[in-house]
Amino acid sequence: MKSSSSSAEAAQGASIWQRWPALVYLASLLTMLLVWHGISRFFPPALLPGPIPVFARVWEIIVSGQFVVHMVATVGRVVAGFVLAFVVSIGVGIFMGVNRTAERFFEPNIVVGLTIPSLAWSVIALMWFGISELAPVFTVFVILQPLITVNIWQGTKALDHEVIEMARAFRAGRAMVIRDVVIPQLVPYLLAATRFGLSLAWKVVVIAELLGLSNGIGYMIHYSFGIFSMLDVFAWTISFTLVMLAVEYGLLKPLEARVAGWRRAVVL
Amino acid sequence: MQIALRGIHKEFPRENGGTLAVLRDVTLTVGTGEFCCVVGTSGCGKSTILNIVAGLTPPDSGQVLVDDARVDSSRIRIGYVFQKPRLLNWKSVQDNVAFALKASGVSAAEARQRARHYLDLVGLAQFEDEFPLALSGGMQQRVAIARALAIEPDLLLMDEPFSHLDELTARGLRAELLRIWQQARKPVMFVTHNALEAVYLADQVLILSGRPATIMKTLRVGLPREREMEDPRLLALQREILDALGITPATAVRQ
Repeated sequence: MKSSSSSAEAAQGASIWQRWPALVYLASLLTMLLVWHGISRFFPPALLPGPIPVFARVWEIIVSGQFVVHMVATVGRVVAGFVLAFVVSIGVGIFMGVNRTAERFFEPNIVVGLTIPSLAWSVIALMWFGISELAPVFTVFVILQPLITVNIWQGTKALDHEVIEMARAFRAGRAMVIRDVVIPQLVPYLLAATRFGLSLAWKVVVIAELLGLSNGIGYMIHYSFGIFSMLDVFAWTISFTLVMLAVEYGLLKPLEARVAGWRRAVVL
Repeated sequence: MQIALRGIHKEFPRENGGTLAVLRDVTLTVGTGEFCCVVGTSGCGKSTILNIVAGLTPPDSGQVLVDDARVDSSRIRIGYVFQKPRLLNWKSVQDNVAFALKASGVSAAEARQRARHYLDLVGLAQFEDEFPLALSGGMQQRVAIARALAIEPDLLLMDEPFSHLDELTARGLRAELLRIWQQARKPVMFVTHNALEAVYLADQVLILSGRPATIMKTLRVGLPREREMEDPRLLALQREILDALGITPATAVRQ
């Protein structure tokens, strides 16, 4: 019998790792940096720069103001494409979950959508829309939409119909059923979709930026490649990873803890 | 308030395209303040009767009448206790009860107050801030009972509410239910496959045949309240129900 509770009583006798879960995350990051540092010592810096020069370069980029310019461009495209895909997916996913015909109609579209590589979409979008903001946003949208739709579709199918029937028996109105009974059951699926949607969106957007745009992280990585500076390639990659880590631990994890708090009540 | 079912028929479509007749000409009356038990074997359509009364399932034909007038199924207030607790696991115990109250139009402030009162009535006052999954099965079912009672229903529907509980817990809850019912005096329709439970609780026991279900026999339990489960008169009535259902006495293996 083991309790996952983090109350003071449970902490008694627990190891330092159990008492301070943040330490484990920190140790994990430190280990990665140490391994990177260790390996980099065996290679010339032009091939594999170590963490110390890379982070020094990251700092330079931030101080120079370039970081903000390119980060804003990339994050803007990621967020626009993601929000668009999310909104459309909620509509289509729920429709598929509640309507058998809609499910049959959209399923092949999704399978096709999932099989088209992001590189192909990036090229197509650039040829359609030219060098504009529309191209990367469209690419992120078409790549994410089938993936997020699948998530929401599955979440809708997994809804517990017994509690919905209960709510109807007690004469709860449609708005109340959706707000208090349906959405809370979908939240875990929405969070999962957000998490992997955002991480995929950034991988997609750098391809579009690399292929045909003149700013953004992808463009800067490509530019660094042009001047053959491995240090800059690493620095730009790491700088975006830092932003994603901040989103994960500063936004998504706390949000998840708040909306899924009731699950922790389960005593095993 | 009196509830009557007249000539209810119900069929359900089957996967293979045919239909499954579940209810055939079900006619019954539950009098004002009467505790009515519906007994039948598993899967005979007992729950369908309750769902029709609750307005969740429309009958193919027949009528549900309240006080001899055709019922607008949204007009009467119905408290429903299901076989499983069916709680909203993401809401606290108190909010679960308050949910039903708000659904029936009670203001948020009053809902909180009444939720507390009814949780106290089922002995769960100190658990009101817990999430349902932190409670035992018996306690969760008590929350479900508090939820059904809190809306002060015109009619209480109960679908084998104690069948998932151990006998000790079930006995306690049956006695509690009778105590609360005797104060409120609202009609109750209680579905069970437990014949002894039926005669212990009911004024009137309706015995259903197998599918398609129809009412085979009506039994009046005229015994005074404060009944004992082990009362030989109850055991005799239980025997009568089992005989009607065609269940022969379990004869001990003799040498």
